[in-house]
Parts: sequence; C-alpha cells; structure tokens
Amino acid sequence: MQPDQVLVIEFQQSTQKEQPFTQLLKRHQQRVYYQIKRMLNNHMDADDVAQQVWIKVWNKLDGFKMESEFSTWLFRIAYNETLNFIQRQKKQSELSDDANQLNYEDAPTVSDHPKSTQIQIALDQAVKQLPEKQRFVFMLRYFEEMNYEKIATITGTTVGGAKANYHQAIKKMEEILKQD
Amino acid sequence: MEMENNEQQNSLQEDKDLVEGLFSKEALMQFEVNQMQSSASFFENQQATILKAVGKKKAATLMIGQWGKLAIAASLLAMVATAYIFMKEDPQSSSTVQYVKIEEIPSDEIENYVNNNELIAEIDWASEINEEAEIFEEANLNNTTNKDTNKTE
Repeated sequence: MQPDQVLVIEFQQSTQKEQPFTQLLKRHQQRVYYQIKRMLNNHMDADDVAQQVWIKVWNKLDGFKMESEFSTWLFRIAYNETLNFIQRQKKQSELSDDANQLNYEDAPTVSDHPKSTQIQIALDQAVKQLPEKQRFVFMLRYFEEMNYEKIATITGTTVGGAKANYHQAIKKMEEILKQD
Repeated sequence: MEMENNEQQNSLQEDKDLVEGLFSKEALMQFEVNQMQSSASFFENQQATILKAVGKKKAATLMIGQWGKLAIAASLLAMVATAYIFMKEDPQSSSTVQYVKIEEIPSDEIENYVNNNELIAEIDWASEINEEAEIFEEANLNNTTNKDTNKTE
C-alpha cells in the first residue's frame, strides 16, 4: 500500500488526479465520516459535511505543502467544516422557529434506544452539553486515540491547550453527571 | 523512540481511564457502536457522489480555463485595437508639423481670424492699462498724503 505522501505527490504532479484521490478517499473516508457523526449525531448532516470536506480536499490538495501528515490536514479541514456547519445551524435556528430542524440537542440518540442503560443515557447527555471544541478534542483523543501534537495541529491550538481541552471536557462531564 | 511511544501509550491509557472511571468502558463502546451503524453500501454511494462532484468541478475548471484564455486574448486584442485607433486619430500625436505660407491663406480667412481675436486683444490691453492706472493713482495718493503731513508739522 502506497503511503499517503506518495499519493499526495502523485495527485499534485499528475493530470490524472482521480486515481490517487480515490485511494486517499477510500483510506480515510470512514474515519472522517465517523468523527463528523460523533460531533453532529446525525447521519444526513454528517454525510453532507463529509462530502464538503472531500470536495475541499480535492480543491486544496495541489497547494498542500506536506508540513504535516495528510491525515492531520484532512482532519483539520473536517474540524473547520464541522464547526462552520454547527455555527450555521445555530444561526438558522436563531432566525427561524422551525421545530422540525434537527441539531445535536434534539437528534435521536443512544438514550432514545429502549435498551439503553442509565449510564449510557448519562454519557450521551454529557457529550451533548460539551462545547464544540472540547467535544471534538475528546472524540479525537478517546475514540481516534490521537496524540496531543496531532490534536493541537487539527484544532489550531498548542499541545497544552489540547490537553487542557480534554481535561476540561472530562471535568464538565463529571459536573453534569453529578447534577443528574 | 520506543520509550517515547510507551510514554504516549501510558498517557493515552491514563486519559481513557479518566472517562471510563466516570462512565464505563461498555457505555463508551456502546456510544461508538451506535455512531458506526452505517452500511458498506453507504460508503460506496458516498464515494460515488464525491467523485461525481469533483469530476463536475474539474470539468468546470477546464471550461473556465478555455474560456478564460479566450477572454484574455480578446481583451488584449481590444486594447491593442483601441490604442491604434486613438493614436491614429489624435492630431497631437503626429510628430510632423505642416507649415503653410501666408500667401497661400485666403484673405477672407485672415480677416475672420483677426476679427475673432480682436476682442481678446482689446480686453488684454484694457486690463494692462487699468493695472498701470491703479499703480499710478496709488503712488500719487501717497505723495499727496506725505505733503499734507509735512504742512501740518
């Protein structure tokens, strides 16, 4: 299997860009989608945002200077697109009183499942209440098992800042758990 | 390197333990399982949609490229043509001055010219005379004032 770097160079130097792009897409598609879905908790929205991410990758990959790993750069785009989507959704829900509009707060979650245990419901509720950046950092660290250097690059912060975000997320979830 | 990796693994496990202590490992696993309920066909479809979208973008870029080249060529051509017409029609841009002998000019034309410019010449003379008169008057007035002052003394 060719490393990402080789595929990126192939994309940048070739006129036949579809082939290396498709390989990169196949390799990282699921991780990107799942990270976005963890954030938005909605399949349709996550699908839309993931598609936007990949279209952006196509448009910007020629200018990617490989100062970081491709996957770091990719997750940075996913982070920005997800946060932009959340911001747009917040503005839209502020402007309209459309009760049918889905967002993280009212999307069907694990707690709606009849077999959900009390602790699963609590986890679900706690995650919902985390600020977006803390939620993103928490997901990357716990589920993607990324190191803090990578998380810091993705979220545009320092290593210390990323660590602080993770620990603040846990503290906040603990507080929420105590309130319940 | 290995030590660094071990440290990172320990640090990751410590971070994970913090959350698992709050909730449970099973609850966190279930959370992840619920997020990952997408079928393989979904990813295949998503791939096809993305590739179709970027394909369209690529085609659009190519179209813009061809049209863009044409537009640049057309605007350059227009600029050159405009400049050429402008240079051709501007009499000042002509470097050669044509001289005409005074005998060749019809006397009617000379008369017309003199008549038209006579008024301007007169106006010029009148303003000159007025200016001189004002200076003269001012000088006279000063002299008279000085004489009066001496007499009073």
